[in-house]
Amino acid sequence: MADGAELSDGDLVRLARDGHPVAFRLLVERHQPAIRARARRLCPNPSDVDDTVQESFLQAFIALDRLREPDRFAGWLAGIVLNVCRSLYRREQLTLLPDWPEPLHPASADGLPSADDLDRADALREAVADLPAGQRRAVALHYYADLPPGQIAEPPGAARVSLHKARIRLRAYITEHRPDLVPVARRTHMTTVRIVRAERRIPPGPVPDRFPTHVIVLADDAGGRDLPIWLLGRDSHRPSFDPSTAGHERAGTAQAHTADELTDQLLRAAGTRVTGVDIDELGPEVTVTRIELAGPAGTRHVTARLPDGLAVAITAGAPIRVADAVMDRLAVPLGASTSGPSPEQTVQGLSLDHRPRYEPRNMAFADGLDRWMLGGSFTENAIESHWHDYSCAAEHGIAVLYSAVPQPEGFALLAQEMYADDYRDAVVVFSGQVRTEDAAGDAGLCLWVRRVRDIRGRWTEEAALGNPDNHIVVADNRGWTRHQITVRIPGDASVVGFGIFLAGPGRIELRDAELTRPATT
Amino acid sequence: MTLGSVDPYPMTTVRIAHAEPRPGRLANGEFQIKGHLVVLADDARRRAVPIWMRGDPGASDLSQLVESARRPAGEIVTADAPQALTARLLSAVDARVTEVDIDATSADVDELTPEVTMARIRLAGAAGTRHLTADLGLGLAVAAATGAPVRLSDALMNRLAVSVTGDDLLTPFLDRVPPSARALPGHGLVGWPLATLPGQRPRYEPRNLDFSDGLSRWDLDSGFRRDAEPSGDYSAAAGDQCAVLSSAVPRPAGSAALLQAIFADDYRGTTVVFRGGIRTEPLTEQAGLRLEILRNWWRVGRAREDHGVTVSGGRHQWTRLEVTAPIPEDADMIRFGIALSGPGRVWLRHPELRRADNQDLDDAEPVSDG
Repeated sequence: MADGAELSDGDLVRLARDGHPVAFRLLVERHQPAIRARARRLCPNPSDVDDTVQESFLQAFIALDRLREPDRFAGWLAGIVLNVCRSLYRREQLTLLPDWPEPLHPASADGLPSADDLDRADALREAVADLPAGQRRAVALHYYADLPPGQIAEPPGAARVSLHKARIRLRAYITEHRPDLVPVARRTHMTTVRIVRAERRIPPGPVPDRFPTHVIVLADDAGGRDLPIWLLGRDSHRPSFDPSTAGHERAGTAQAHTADELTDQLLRAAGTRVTGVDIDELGPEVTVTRIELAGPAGTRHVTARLPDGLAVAITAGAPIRVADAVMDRLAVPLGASTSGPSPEQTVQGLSLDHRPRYEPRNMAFADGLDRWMLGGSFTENAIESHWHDYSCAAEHGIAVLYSAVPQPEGFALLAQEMYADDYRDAVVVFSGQVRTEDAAGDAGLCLWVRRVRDIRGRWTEEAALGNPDNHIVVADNRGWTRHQITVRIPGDASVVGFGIFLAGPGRIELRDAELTRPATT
Repeated sequence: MTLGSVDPYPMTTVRIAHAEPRPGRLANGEFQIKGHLVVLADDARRRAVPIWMRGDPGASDLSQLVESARRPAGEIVTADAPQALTARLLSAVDARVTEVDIDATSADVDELTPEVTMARIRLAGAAGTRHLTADLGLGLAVAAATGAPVRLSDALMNRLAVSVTGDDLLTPFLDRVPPSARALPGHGLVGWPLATLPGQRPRYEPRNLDFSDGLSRWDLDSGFRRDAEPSGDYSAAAGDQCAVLSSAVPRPAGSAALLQAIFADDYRGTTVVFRGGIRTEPLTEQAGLRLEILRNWWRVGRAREDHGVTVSGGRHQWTRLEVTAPIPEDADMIRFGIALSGPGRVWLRHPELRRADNQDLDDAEPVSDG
């Protein structure tokens, strides 16, 4: 296995963002000794070191896209460790549920307030000051003057209601303004869900020629809602996701016939149980689970890719827990998650109409967008919430690619692919007139080559447009300008793709597109 | 002492030298995987043993893990084989795979295959040492992911290992691959229309109908039996604007066809007519035109419709034959050409494939073109 020694932290961060799971693991391996040493220094209780290290890397993974300067990963990670440690030791001191045990009279063990204590108390005072007068008075009398509810007001029930409302408002205020003060254990409320369905369907996104893939529906029965998770590409091909084979053999002595069964049996043989698989976040570029193991050495957490975590949960029969915030954001009413054609329709509805041809077609958009495909990173998420962030149309010989929401996720391509056979070892030129409008991010022309057996992860902007020679960024000019890209097609090319791209809000239009092979001199 | 911690037989530790997808890259640059050739090397004694895996559990994972390990240091590879997570989970609970032993289920096996072997995995952890069994490919993949040594009994190695000289541990074993997984020059992959054309994927229209490029785009298909050796009972050649399909032995087995495949997209919903002049050698048992329609496998399970017209005995003069068939909306590919069953020889010239018009539909009788 490559150890990435020659790659900088920044390189690895960028690769991890592009969906290379190994890249983040290499970052973990590279920084784990230093982070562990730092956690040892920061954690008074040595038994918390492992949890702190695990939690730090998990938070780093989830927040990787928010790291502005990838080359400063080490310093950023060290800051996360500090925050995790602080949160861990605030847990016992600051609890906003179910009652208010927070000592508003700050005092540390030696009788003097620490800086953290003062900081926390200031935040709470600001929050209390923001309460309505009645609730503020109830809080002050109850917590500052130590009066029981019965002595705050008559009747006592009214005082309890005021205190209850005050606590809700304070929680909301603190969560919004100072989330760092909310203990980790409280910050992430989890909903236990069950897998109600795993079946193959065509994703209902905007790409017309998608192949069937697995959708796994997680149900929150108590909350009356479903969370559909799509496993795209290679991730969908896993026996554990097939209801007819998943979990069919749990006997400890049976011979393992799938990789997931063997993993389950190995863990059991090691005296370890999978006690849960947590999904803390789901969203563009963030698909990670945390596997909780209970074994002879105690509880351990291991982060894993979403399909891996789900497969482990299915095989082990372990509960899956999803962060409330994720459920609130992405769940749909129970039974409403059947978007996309049914499995039967999936099979019948598949079309080969979009198999590549050997030459460009419909370059003048006379047939609308026939043979042109809408795709990009926004379609390659496990959840559907951003699958309609971009759209496209064609009229009067002009194709337009535009954002359909104010803040679209990822980037989009409106492109055509053709077999490369007749262009191998030749120079090709893709050109066209382009006009952009209100394009806040990059927009322009692109031309790419897929070779035989390319390893392809998720299609992030960097993965698709990382090569500066395969695209041209067009300035936001609102006027037609002609651009062209020239590329030599390698001898082992399988498919050539070309079109326009858009990353972020705005629109880009294309007309008079041409793909030519100029005569060599 | 933990039960099973003493090996009952002397064991040889081997290295997973190769786990190669086969046939792999074809002449046209396409990549086909019909199985994996695994080579286990006993470096100390300069010998190796091959294992052929055909879609067995863990085989592709093993190939991916071996390929990842082979990449140069510093190169990031996407290794998402599930066994990578297995290794991390075991490490997190302070357990480790100490050995993966390959056991034969019978004492007299003469070849290592997944059917006659199993992997015995030894796991050491806080709960003690445990043994688990798994399919061969899964066991090898876990060994590759965890870095555990792979072992075979000395007796098995002594019987099955092949001495190797030099560093090439793959080439000596390539002929151990079943015929159906070999890409044979001029033959392509037996029974797989998409790959039957050596070096060329199907086009959307017929090509080389005058055989001016020899047999380019034409493929000799002598039937499909998964593990059968190519019989060599039939042969094909081209010249003088004709193609000829011949029996190469006095009593050839089965039948053969010389066919060209095209994507069916542009013909769906129409009726096509395939027409050509054929001539046969005296004593030819059965020969004629063939038109095959291959439909989308996911709808109807790799269904193939065959249409044809055949003649028996010798036809010294050119006879023009034609076959007409509707192309369904779910057709994937069309194959057309000549077929020969039994001894004899059949020539084809002026083949033509096109959408049928009303005249074609009214007149489907064989016509001699002299």
